[in-house]
Amino acid sequence: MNRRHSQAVGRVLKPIIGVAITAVMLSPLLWMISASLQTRTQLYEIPAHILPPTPTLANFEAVISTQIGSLGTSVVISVATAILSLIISVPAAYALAQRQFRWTGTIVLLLLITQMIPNVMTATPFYLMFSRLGLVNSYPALVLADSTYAVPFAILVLRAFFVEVPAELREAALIDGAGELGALLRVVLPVVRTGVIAVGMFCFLFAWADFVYALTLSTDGSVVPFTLSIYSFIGAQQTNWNELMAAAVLGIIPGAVLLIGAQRYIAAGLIGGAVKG
Amino acid sequence: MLSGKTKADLGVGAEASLTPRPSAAPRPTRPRAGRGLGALRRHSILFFLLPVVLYLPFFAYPIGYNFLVSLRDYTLSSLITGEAPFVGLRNLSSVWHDPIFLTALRNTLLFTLLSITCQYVIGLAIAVFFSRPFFLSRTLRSVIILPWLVPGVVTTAAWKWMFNESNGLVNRLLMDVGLDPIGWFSTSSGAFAAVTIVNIWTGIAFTVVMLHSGLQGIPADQYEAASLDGAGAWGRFWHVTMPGLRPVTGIVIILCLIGTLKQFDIVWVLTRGGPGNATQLLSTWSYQLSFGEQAFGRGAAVGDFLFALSLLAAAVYAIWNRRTTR
Repeated sequence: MNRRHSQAVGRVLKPIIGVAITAVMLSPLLWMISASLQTRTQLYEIPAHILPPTPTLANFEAVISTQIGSLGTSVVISVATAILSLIISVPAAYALAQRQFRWTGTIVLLLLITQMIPNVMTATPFYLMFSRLGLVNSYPALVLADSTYAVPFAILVLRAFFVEVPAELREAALIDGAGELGALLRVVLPVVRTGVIAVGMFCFLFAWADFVYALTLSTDGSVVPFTLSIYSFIGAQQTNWNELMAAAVLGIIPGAVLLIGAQRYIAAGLIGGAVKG
Repeated sequence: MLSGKTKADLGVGAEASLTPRPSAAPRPTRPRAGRGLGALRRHSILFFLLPVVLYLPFFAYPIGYNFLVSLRDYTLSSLITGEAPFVGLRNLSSVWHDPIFLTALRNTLLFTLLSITCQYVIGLAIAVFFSRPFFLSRTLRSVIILPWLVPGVVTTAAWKWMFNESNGLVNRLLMDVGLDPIGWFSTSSGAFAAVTIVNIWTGIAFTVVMLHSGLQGIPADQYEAASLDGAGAWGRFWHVTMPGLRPVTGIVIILCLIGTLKQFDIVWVLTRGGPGNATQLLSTWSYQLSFGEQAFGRGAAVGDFLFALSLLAAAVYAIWNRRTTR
């Protein structure tokens, strides 16, 4: 009786506590969304409004015209980074998974070490290198720099996916007369589609989130990724918090879309990379 | 792992790929069908490595180049003339003797220690809470990782408003419970607390996801056996959950450690290392030397120290991992 009673209480309490934990964890984002729907005067009224008293989209109307350019820039850079990273990583991961080369272990170790390199440390060489090539303030510079976040990650995770593919599939394709490339494209890739999509999305998000390279490789305002645009918004003399919060809300969109539309891919990418190895 | 990435910003996300037990056992070798199809076909797979080989210089160059720059007197004029006199270890020694070095090192270590401890403990508590399914648990657990998929600059902007001294949520809540508001950006300890809190918060989503998958890997019959032996909830946690999580714990801690050592975005957006170096980390100081003072050689030297610190952490992890898995 007592046990059943406590179970019933648990069934009611657990979701409530769960919602509370989630709300606390998301509070900065919720607070940001709330602020983005308030006017400047409402924002400074004391006590502060938890919920917007008269929700307005005026802030979004104000920022969309100024931010649309940098949002577009970031989308171009992020898509290009994801494509470039996949082109490099898919074949490499496939080769490393199919054949146990003598130096496979070394390569994996080197890839892991590259993930430890502080990007502040590579920003200087990239800046010096690209300024000598005349590529500072260009899309290729940012795509190349951003892909250094993505490529090691992509190879490691994709390799874990390829290793799981039954060897018979590839062998059957080879016996049927397909070359290695045919076997990869027509037989193996469709099997690991989930993993490839997940990895591509993460590559996109790495580039989307990049700040260090944007800060160092974009100096004259001609190519301004979204994170840099938000940063200069914050640095302005009189920070317009209501508009800044509206602009920042736009930055949540890709992550939120992925979370809603691609839940299983995210879990697949994470767990595939981190746990299976 | 997104923060950076960390995920980093996403940063940490970038590192979501350490193997739990590196080289634990050689993968069973499979029968290879390519064998009868000729040597050309057998080696054709090497061509698949061609793109990454072509790409490798872009990767290796900055790392090697950073070390070279740290040995030279590289300034703004070097950028134009291409001349940077070789100065040997002078940059490293000048950075080492700079009073800011000790401040930045101390801040980096304290920031890292506080961050990984809190990220792990809070992440574990949340993961355990969500480990058994209940109404809404799946939805909530997936929504909770949203911060990790949002650029660090964006979440930090949100936090900057949370910490706003005149009308931020944090000070409002403090006043609601009768405490004095805190000068989050005007006092040294307030600023240090602010950057640490934001970094902890950014990493929790990642630890929750990793530890959750670790918890799912612990067989349920171990819990049943412990219950039959008379273990309470607390006993089961210490004698079943914690030992079962050991491999994942190792990865989570090393990844949080590396992610935090590299952390730049949060601190730069919140405080730029200020007020008066109170939140200066090795990463922000390196950036400031290179791009604030155009002392590229010294900035690179600080970068060398930071990289050495990460390698040291990774080496400690590798040794620990080898000991515990044997």
